This record gives sequence, C-alpha cells and structure tokens, in this order.
Amino acid sequence: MTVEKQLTVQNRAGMHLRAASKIVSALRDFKCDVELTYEHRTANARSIMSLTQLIAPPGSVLFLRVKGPDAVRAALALEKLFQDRFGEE
Amino acid sequence: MVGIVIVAHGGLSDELIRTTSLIVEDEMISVHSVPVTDLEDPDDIKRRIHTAIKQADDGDGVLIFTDMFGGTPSNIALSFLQEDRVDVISGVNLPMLVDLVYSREGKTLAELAAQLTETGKNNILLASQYLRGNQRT
Repeated sequence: MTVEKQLTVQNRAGMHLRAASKIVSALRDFKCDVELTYEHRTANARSIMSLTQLIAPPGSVLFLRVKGPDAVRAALALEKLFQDRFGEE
Repeated sequence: MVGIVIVAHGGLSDELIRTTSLIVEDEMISVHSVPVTDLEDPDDIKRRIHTAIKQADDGDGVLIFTDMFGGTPSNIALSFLQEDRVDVISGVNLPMLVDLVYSREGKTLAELAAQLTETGKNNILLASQYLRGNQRT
C-alpha cells in the first residue's frame, strides 16, 4: 500500500527540531517507510536529523509518500499533526 | 540498552542533556553526566567516570561521549576503553544526542557507536554548499 499527499507546514517556526521530533514519535508504532520531500530535498521521516535538513519554512508544502501495511494510518496521523501545527501556538 | 555517559569540560555535558530533553520532550533520555574542570585531580575525575559507567551499564555496554579528542575528559575516558564493553566517541554534539534518543533501542554498542559517529559528522554542514546541491537528507 502506498499513500501520497501534500502537507503544508502551518506552524510559525517551520520544520524545526521539536516538530521533527513529534513526527518521528508519531510514526513509531506504524510499519511503513515514510518520506517527505521539499524542493529538491527528500527526508526519511523517521529521522529527526533528516527532517530538519529539509529546511522547510512556515507555509511550505511538503510531498508525503508512505509505503507499507500501515501507510493509511501513518498518513492520517501525519496529516493531523501538520494540521495541529505540531501542537504549537 | 547501551548505557551513555557524557564527559565534558565545564557545564557542557549537563547543558547538552538539558537541551536534548527540551527537543525530544516526552521521549526518555537516560544519560549520565560527568562535568570536568581542568583544576580537578585526575584521580577524582577518573573515579567519577568509573561511578557513572557503573550506573549506566545494564549489561549491554557503555558509550562515553567526550567533547574534544585530546582534552582531559577524553584522555581520562580513554583509560576505560574495553572491547565490546566500553567505547568512546569524541566531539559530541547536539545532533548525536537527539539521534541517540530515537536510535538506542535494540542496538549493540558497536552499531550505536558507528551510527552516532556518522550522525555527528553528517550534521556539520556548510549551508551554502548544502542548499546548492540536490540532496537526499
């Protein structure tokens, strides 16, 4: 199963360390590979260091690709996290 | 789980742990700190490192981070090297500790040490070069 969708970074600080940390934690229990792409950079969404190297500012639109048995649930979890601005503000 | 000890000059070890905790929020960060001043008796430093290693070790070995190769903390930490039991990585930085929090479980001492050494190196970036290239992070 593969899920692809676009996610907008809606918090004020963009893809910073704590936001990346929340993404990694949110994915912990899902069995799937997760990539986020911004401009020419693609990150492994299970790695904080990889995510922060996207350098995705507020308002940027990221391309999400999830592959694996839990792809749908993982994509929904990430969509909610982005909509909730990673719990900030 | 591999035990972790940070041995560094001044307040660096405590501050690295505090800052990592702020970033990872709810995640568990179990790391032992040994702050060192150059004025201290080396035998006292050695004793404190020994105590920290014993506290950190639950049977899977201990990884010691030091701030700078050749410095007192590193030099003394090296005396605890023990194959497959205790290893030392110098040049500790924040990316290594953040990565540690998410990578520690289920890894051997050698696997964890190799990964975190790479993380530390890979996260030193010259921004102008990094942003210029097509990269997979």
